[in-house]
Amino acid sequence: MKAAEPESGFSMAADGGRSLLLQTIQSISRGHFDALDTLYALPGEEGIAPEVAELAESIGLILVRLEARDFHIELAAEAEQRLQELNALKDKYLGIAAHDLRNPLSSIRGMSQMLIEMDLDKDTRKSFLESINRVSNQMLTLINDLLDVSVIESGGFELNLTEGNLSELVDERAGIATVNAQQKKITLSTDLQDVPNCMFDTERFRQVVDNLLTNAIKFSPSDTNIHLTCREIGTTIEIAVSDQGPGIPPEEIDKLFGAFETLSTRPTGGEKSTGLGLSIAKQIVDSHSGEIEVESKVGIGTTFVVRIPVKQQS
Amino acid sequence: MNGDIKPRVILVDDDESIRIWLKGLLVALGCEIAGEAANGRDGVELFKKERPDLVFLDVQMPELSGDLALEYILAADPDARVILLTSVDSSRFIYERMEAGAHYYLSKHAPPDEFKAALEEQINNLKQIP
Repeated sequence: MKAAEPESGFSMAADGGRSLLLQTIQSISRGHFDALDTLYALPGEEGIAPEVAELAESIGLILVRLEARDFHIELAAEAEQRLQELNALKDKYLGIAAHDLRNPLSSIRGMSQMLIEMDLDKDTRKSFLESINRVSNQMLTLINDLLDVSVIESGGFELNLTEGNLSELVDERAGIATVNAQQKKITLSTDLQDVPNCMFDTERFRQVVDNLLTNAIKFSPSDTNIHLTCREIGTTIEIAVSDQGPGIPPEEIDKLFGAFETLSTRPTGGEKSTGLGLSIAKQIVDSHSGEIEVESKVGIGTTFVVRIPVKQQS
Repeated sequence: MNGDIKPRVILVDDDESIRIWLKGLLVALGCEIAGEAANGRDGVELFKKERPDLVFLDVQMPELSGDLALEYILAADPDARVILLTSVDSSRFIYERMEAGAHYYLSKHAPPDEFKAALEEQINNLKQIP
């Protein structure tokens, strides 16, 4: 490291050593502490009084501290940014609790109280009980999703990998989804090929397939078809769900897998959408070293593709 | 309005379960449900088509918020009686909506007895209009 030296032609007499002092202070502030040696080594007569040299050293050190402080301020700003993000997430949780849980709870309370106290006709009673049942299920799903997101956010997401067959799992989920699809006059076709067994978390993967199927049903109009495939491609197993829904505008594709992102497209049967499902699905697929992709054309339909390796890396 | 005639009402709320509950309650209180809508835009159209005696309008809704729907409904008929269904209990929020021309407001989260009593009062008031 080179010490600060007086410029050529430097004259102590000319500015009383001011330039040399400034240079030395600057050097110290950049961490070049040996610059002090030059200062202290100046010949006695022309030299700078030791008090002044000490002062220069002190100022230099103050500058070093100031720089360190700037660095800490930067760190603090980053921490504050993260805190703000978490705060925004918390606000979204509260927003969901306020609207999506409070409304159905109020309606459940209102309907159940009427069922207890009033002599209602058979049709009203039936529609109340069906609504209470449906809304309770929706609330339970929402609470489960919120808990999943909170586990993911806190980094405590763990997989329970066992050997199984994805084609069989997809077949099982398709059977269950068919009932919901039929209610909206949507057909479900499948092409499930023989695939080798692989390691996956059965419960979590059920969630992924259910989520893709539920979304497809939610956003598809009546008299359309949802096509579901499972096949082996190279070293991966691929599951694809294609719908003939309204499609997703290109500018919204990037937001698709973010937590709490609901897009401009609305469910066709008045269903609820909290924007948590796809974010959870992506997290599950990612943790299987897999990938989830979407292809969509507005007015034509959307295909979600999930691929996971046949052999999981430990 | 003659006490024997059933007030015709429409329900505008994006929450299906709230609509089912209110529909049951309003029918039990002697109203005729002229129609229901799940967003502000459809609600305004329904109002123009049915011209009901009373509108129940949720404030937080997709497509067109309850605030804007209230404006459109009052523009179509300055005498429209609109009762807002709110989730917000702040007095300023309610004051602003009443200033905007809402006839009354009901908190969806009030205890069912209170909610029913307030609703009953509104229906009875309506029946007493000559």
